[in-house]
Amino acid sequence: MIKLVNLDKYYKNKFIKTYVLRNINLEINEGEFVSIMGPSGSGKSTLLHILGMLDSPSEGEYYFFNEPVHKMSERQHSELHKNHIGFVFQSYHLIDELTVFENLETPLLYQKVKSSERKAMVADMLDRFKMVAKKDLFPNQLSGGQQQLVAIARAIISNPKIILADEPTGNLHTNQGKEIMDTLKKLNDEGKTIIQVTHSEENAKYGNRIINLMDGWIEK
Amino acid sequence: MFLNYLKIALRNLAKNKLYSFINISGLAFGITCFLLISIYLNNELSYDNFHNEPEKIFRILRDNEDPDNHYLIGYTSGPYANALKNDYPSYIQSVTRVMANDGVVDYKDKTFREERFFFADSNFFEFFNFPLLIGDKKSVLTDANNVIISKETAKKYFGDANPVGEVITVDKEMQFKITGVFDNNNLNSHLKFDFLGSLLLIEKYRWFSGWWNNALSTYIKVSNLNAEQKLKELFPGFMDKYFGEDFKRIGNKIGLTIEPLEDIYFNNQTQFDFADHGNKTSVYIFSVIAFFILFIACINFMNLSIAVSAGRSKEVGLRKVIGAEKKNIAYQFIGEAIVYSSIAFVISILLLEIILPYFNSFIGKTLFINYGNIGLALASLIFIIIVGITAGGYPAFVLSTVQPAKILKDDGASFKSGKSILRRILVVTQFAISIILIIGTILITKQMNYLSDANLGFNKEQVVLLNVDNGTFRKNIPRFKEILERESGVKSVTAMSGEPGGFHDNYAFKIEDKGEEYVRMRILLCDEDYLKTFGIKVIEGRDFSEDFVTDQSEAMILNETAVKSLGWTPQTAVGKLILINFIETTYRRVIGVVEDYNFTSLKNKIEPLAIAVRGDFRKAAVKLNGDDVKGTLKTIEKAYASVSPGYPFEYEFLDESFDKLYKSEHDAQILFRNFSVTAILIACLGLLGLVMYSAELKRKEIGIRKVLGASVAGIVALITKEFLILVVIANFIAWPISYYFMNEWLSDFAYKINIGLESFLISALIAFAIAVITIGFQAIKAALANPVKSIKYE
Repeated sequence: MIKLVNLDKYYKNKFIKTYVLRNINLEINEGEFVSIMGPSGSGKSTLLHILGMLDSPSEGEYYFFNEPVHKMSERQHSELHKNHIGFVFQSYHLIDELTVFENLETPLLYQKVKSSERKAMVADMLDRFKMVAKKDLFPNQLSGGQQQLVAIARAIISNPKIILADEPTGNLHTNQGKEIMDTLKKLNDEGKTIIQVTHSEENAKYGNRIINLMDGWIEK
Repeated sequence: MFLNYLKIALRNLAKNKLYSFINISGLAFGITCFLLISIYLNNELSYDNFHNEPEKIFRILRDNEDPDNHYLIGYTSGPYANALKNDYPSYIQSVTRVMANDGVVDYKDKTFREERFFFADSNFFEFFNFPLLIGDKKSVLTDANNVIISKETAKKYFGDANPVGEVITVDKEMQFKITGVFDNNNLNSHLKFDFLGSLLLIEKYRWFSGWWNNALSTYIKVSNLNAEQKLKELFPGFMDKYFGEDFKRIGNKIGLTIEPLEDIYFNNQTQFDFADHGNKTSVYIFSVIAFFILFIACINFMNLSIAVSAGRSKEVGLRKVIGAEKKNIAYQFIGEAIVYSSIAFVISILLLEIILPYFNSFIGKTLFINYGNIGLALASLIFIIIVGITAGGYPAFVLSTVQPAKILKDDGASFKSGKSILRRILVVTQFAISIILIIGTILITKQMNYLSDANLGFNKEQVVLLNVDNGTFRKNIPRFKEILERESGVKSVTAMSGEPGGFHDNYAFKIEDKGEEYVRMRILLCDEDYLKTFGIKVIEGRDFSEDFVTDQSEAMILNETAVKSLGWTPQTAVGKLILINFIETTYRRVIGVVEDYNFTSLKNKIEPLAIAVRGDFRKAAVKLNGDDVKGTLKTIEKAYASVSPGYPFEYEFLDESFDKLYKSEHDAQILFRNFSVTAILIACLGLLGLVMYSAELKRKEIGIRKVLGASVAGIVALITKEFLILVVIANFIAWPISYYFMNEWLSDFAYKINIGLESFLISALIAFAIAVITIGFQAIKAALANPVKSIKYE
């Protein structure tokens, strides 16, 4: 479902190109659980952002379900992104001014889902993650693990094909981290494609493939 | 979706209470100014728009046709109307005439002087469209003794009773029967009257049919719109037909022209008429000010919003990650701005209701907000949206371009938008305007204080002035004096042609030993007690005295300037012979010289003045000794009633009437003061926005400096310095401009203060103080922030 061909990412500063990603060739199939590993600064997050269409490559080709993403406009990017991709971050990134319920509802607003349907979908999600009692709380009233659960719920509420997780357990205690990883694993079992960036060998083991990045290159 | 935005907007508003307050009140302030001026302009531009086919109504004007000093005259004489209608029946549909007058009106025990007692032809109410509450348009003015009155006048004389059929007496002799009531409330017309009598009464007088007795205004209604041009072409022939021989005799010509009804109010080419006039220039100036203030307020709102929303870039990034498109983000922020502008609008309506009464008393009008007007409500809605889009558009644009990948990486610190040079220029401009206005306010106040403290050369305190405006009073002045001089509260009483500050005619004089040459001097005619009453000092010779019977016809007193201009000294002046050429045939002898006093205003240099005893009185003055002013006023009223029975007692204190000479300066003072407060507030908001924005951008830099050991004071100085430079620049721009304009303004005065450096320094100090307070708060807040928070990378 995803295919990267000779993909480069660099930042130009006057005459010097600083490479973040070099000559990436990568194929990911539907239903996979891929872990991207590597030391700080190796380009893991940049790769994830490019996969999630939050950032664009400097050179090379990116096919998403055989569609050439590198040739699309920003509008088409956000269309693809909004319908097929869910994001989970290390620091949860919920909207502080909105309640749990409203945070979950927001992606559906952008997809113009009808109000009654929206309510049903959010209720369903709250139920599934056992958060019904917390639906009117604001993010800062929740623990880190609970916030990350909300973030995952938000990522999957619009039923994306693929979930991109950027160190989803990085800010969490071990136990909470385990819960999150179990949740992701369960989602993978249900058929979602998952790509995670992680530092932890243990978390990487949840996946069925590991990609090691070093200074922007994929290590073979 | 909309609800979601509204929720976020209100929650943000509640979260940033201080900034929301500043931001909304700033915008509310701008909108208030804008609305206030709009209401004023709407009122000014609504004059005479309520008539039927106003574009077909014209006023006849005479034209002096002097290329050097060209002006138009609104007065015409009685015969014009019929002659025009008879000569040009194909162009002129109908004509009507209006004459302005005044009089004392009596009804039972009520007596008032009425300044706006007009007369008009019987077709007046068919010609113009003043609505009648009671009475029939066609018949209200058909008899010579008919009069129709305004709603307020009816209330004043008759309360709630129906006035129709009642009889009023005018000037103690003429009886009028009231035939109707008209309503001129909320109607603006260049014709402002409280009473309208029938012109049939005036037509009976012989003078009325004289072509040269120009006493009224003639209006025509044309039959088609081409008539204006045609009539203007035909008028020279018309004037030749009726004035040809007269023109030949006097060797001068007068032209005739017409002006559209809608132009009358703003026409200031017409020098003589009784119409109510507005000032087009002030309409333009006010429109510019209104848009300027609103524009600045919007820009300040924009700056503050961008500064505050820098902290919201994370939210924007997130929204994009979970599926928001650029337009969603833009709608959200514009929507928020509209929410803010709606709140500001509501606040400004409240503010407006508070301000309007003061504004009304200041401009002497009765403006109000017409809540019932659907069009106005719709316009307000559009206005709110436009203001919202203007103020929210730029922040919306900036924020919608936020790159989520960047923002989410390092927590909002990379939020940037262009350079703020434009905003700096704006702040400098705002401060320069504030400084100019502060300097203006200080100098005007100083000059006004100077004027009121200046030694005028006479004593204006405790002097009560009365108009000598009817024959009975004029005849009885000696008796009036006699009664009051017995009273303990009264020092002296005098009568004269014009009080100090009042009317002093300009006459030609003949000096005995200077041959046939005329000398022009100002003149004051008075009785023997004038100098004594006003405390004017005689420096040579003697004052007038009742002991010398000949003073009434043979004596004259000059002021120092007159003596000097005639080439004499006070000593040599006494004994000289002078003839008041215009009114007398025998010479008067100079018996004394008085010290110069300001008999006009301090705007003018003291001119040569001749004072003579002669019974040509327009004013009477009573000098009080200061105890029990109220009781003495009662006594004066009683004395007045006994010598001038049936006329209303109206008085004024001299110091107040003298102050009125500076009314326009006093108005300027108030305007300047209010505008400078406005400008300062606006400038503060602008500066605040800039400082907040800059502090946000520099958060990381400040954090790093602190980690490296910078002190709080050092950081405050770092931030403050950058902005105080803007205030310095503003001062450099403002000083020469204010010097130039204040010099111009002061040149109106013959007696004035010096423009010292201190006014400039004081206003610079004020500007600095305000800027430091505005900046300081933000700077200290930024400097005190925990550096770990601002430089942390997640």
